[in-house]
Amino acid sequence: MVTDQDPRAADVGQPQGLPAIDVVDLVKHYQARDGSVVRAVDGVSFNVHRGETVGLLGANGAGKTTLLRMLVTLLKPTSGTASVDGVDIREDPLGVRRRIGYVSATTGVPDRLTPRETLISYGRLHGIPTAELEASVERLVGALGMTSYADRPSGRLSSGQRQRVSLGRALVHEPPVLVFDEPTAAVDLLGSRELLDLLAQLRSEGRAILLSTHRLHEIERRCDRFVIMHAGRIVARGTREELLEPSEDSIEDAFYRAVAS
Amino acid sequence: MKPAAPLSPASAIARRDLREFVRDRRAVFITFLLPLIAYPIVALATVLGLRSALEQIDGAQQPLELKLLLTGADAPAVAARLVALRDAPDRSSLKAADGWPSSLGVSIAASVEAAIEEVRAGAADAWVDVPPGTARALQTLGGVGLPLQATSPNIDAEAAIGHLEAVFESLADAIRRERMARLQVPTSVFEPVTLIVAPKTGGGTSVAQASSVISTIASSMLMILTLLTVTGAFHPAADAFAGEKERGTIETLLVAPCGIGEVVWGKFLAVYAVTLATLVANLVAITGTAAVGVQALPENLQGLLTAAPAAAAVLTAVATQVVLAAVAAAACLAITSSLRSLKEAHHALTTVMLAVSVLAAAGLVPMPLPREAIAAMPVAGQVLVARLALTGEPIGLLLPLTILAAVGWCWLLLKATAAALADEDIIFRGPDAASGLLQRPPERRLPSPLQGVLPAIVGLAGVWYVQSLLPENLAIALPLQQLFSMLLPLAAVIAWQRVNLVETLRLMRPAGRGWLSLPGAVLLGAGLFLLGAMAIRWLVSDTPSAAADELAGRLSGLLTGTPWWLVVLVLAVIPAVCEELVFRGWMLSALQGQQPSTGRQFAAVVAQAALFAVVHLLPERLPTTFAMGLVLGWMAVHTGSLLPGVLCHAVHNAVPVGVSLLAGTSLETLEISPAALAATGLLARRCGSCLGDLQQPGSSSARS
Repeated sequence: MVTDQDPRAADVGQPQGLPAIDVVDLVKHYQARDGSVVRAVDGVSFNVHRGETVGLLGANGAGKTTLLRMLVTLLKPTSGTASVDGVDIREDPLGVRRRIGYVSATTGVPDRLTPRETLISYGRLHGIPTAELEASVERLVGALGMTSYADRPSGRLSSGQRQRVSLGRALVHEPPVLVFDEPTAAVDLLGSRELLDLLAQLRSEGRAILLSTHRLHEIERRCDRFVIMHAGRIVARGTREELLEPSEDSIEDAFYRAVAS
Repeated sequence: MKPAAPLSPASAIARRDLREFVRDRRAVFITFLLPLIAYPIVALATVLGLRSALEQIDGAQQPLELKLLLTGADAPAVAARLVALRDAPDRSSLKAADGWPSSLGVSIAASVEAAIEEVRAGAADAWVDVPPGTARALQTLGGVGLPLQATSPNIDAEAAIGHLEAVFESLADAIRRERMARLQVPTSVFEPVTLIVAPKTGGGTSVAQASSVISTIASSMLMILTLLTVTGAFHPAADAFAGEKERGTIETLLVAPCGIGEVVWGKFLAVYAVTLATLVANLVAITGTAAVGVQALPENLQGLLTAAPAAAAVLTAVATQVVLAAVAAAACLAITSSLRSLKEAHHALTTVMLAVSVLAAAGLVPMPLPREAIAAMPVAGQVLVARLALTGEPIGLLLPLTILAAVGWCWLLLKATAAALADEDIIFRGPDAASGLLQRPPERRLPSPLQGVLPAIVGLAGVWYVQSLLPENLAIALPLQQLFSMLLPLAAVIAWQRVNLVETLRLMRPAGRGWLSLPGAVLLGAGLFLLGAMAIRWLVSDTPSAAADELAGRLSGLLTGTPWWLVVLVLAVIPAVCEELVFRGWMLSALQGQQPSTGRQFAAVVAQAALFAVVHLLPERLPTTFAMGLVLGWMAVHTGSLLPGVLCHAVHNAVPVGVSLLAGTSLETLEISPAALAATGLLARRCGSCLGDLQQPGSSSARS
């Protein structure tokens, strides 16, 4: 198992044998207020390798968000485990957080800070030295196309621009693993297209990307593999070609069939 | 060149929050600029009010000019005596000479009708009807009553009557002296001893009255300073967690590579910094306002104010406020940590103002508690020490005590904040439909925390309101009090909530070898009473408060005139059942929640014990009732049953009844033998160990 070292020192672009995300029989149960036990995630196993984008599909309540929150150590698993870049989420949650970038539809950006200030403040939380942080932020501002509004308060930005700031925030510590939970849910088609292009670029840099979304058509040809969840369990997995029946012509058809069965 | 070291996560969070705060112009205005505007307005109103109050005081001290009207056939004789007395050079030697009006006019009316008309028109201030035979009675050794028929509506009747009493007392004194001279009896026969008081010099407000006014102003300013300082924590605290949740930025903070402790510490630093800045703004505003305001005060008060408190006293007062700001910041963070929006947070924080007002008042007015106990309280302790320092009273070790206590309170509050932040249920489960008070939630296992405390708060108000309506007879009053303050609020909230009652109220057998806990509970109850009684005597000395004294007297009365079984039922069984159902049943279960962490269990036990102590409404019993609440809460958590707690509580209440009945001793004079105390204490400790072991069957009782 990889020890807790500086993730930014890792060779991001080099494919390695160990999966970047390795989920093993992960379970999350919680007690509803009426006393019943809800099995939000019920024995899920899969992995994501570097330079690969895996689409996590599922209807509302399938357990996607709970699974992703366990991966980024916001929730503690009931049983099972997972590792991120070789670091166990139970044993070293802080080590996992240093190696992972997380963006969800509900993650916002501080309204009264500018994008540049937001990125710097999160970089400080990761303990990046000031000079290195400033250079990294400049690079991100350019790469994400935020130059024209980098010094404008985020409260005045469009939803697409804010989602870019959110992406920049997740990338400021240059993590080898990225987890996205419905990243395009709050942005328009144009913003969504731009964001997915950026994800493709990040994948080409060798990062492992786990992407959950409802907009199946958007990611149909952008993901290397798919994992379909229903009622807390994985009901199908594989590449687009592996999942599609001869009679089907979109991943949406395969999704409906998997969930219905 | 050495590269700059990265900031610690806590500093980074504090810095980010402060940057956000200063960009919020409305918050900055309310926090910093409002005091600068508010103090001069308050000062202007105070100075105007003060001048008016002092003028009234001075006015009340100035004697009136009095025009007295007499009627009746013998009126001329009385008038002549009064005029002679008025014009006599040695009038000051007479009794009551100091109460005379500044001038006395005496006239005679021709008829009753004329007198009525003159008084009504204001031509005369008072009318006395002299009865027939008065002149003769005065010449001989007779006595007569002179009825005051009316006073003018244009004059202060009370002051006028005071003057008239002085005038006629002087007249009586003069006549008495004449008679004694006539009878050749020396004055010393009737006045063997006379206190000689030097005549007053000058007029106006006395120093004592002015000091009292100044002391009131100082207390008011301390109250305003405390409230405004606490208000400084409101906005940043509401924004710290509830605001982050509303904006969706809390998750990004929680996935940062730092522990929850560092997040809470960073948030606290930011809120504390703003609260301290608010304090500084208030102090600057007070100093500036006072410097100008002194010039507007009456001259005799200016003299008193220029004797400013010593620098050490001011520093001590400022130090207490610095500590108070920390407690306020931690409390506001703890309160808002589990809330989900700024609106919810601001609603919750408005209750803080009420709590702070009550606590600050406890530090400003005399309380039936030792000063050390008040100094250890949040807010009250710091206000008390500041007041003592500013009024020049000795504070001894109270300053370090209140600072240490405040550090302890901050630690507890920040631990509670961290516990709320670590609670997945609070952070991620979305709005709880049952958290509102007015919305009927779907069926569920346990009530929400807010609704857990509802019956006790309603009960507290109930105790207050029904007290005056209850009959004198305690055998009826006490069960009624329990009914209105405990059972009815609980029944109402149970009817509304639809929870699992068996689980919520812990209506189960004690866990494991639970029967062992029952004798343990009996011994603990007895031991707790004796320890509590000793603690009260040690803490509060032998002088109980008026309320406790009255209650003890009434309880003694109950003991003498009521069958023993009824006394036990009323004093021990009914309160034990009702209070355990509310506090260790409903409230503790709600505060603990489902599958509670150790920290949350601890916080829940402490919170219900605190409310249990407050609801008893007897200040000197606060510490012991709190301790009792802790023990009972711990028993409920460890045995999973309400039964041991009910038994322990009932025995605790029954011990004084039993001892009193057996020994024929009244409650007030009940003495506690040290040997009995030690024996019961040891037994209680052994039982406590047994209870603890029930939860850990593998552990050895030899641990104790």
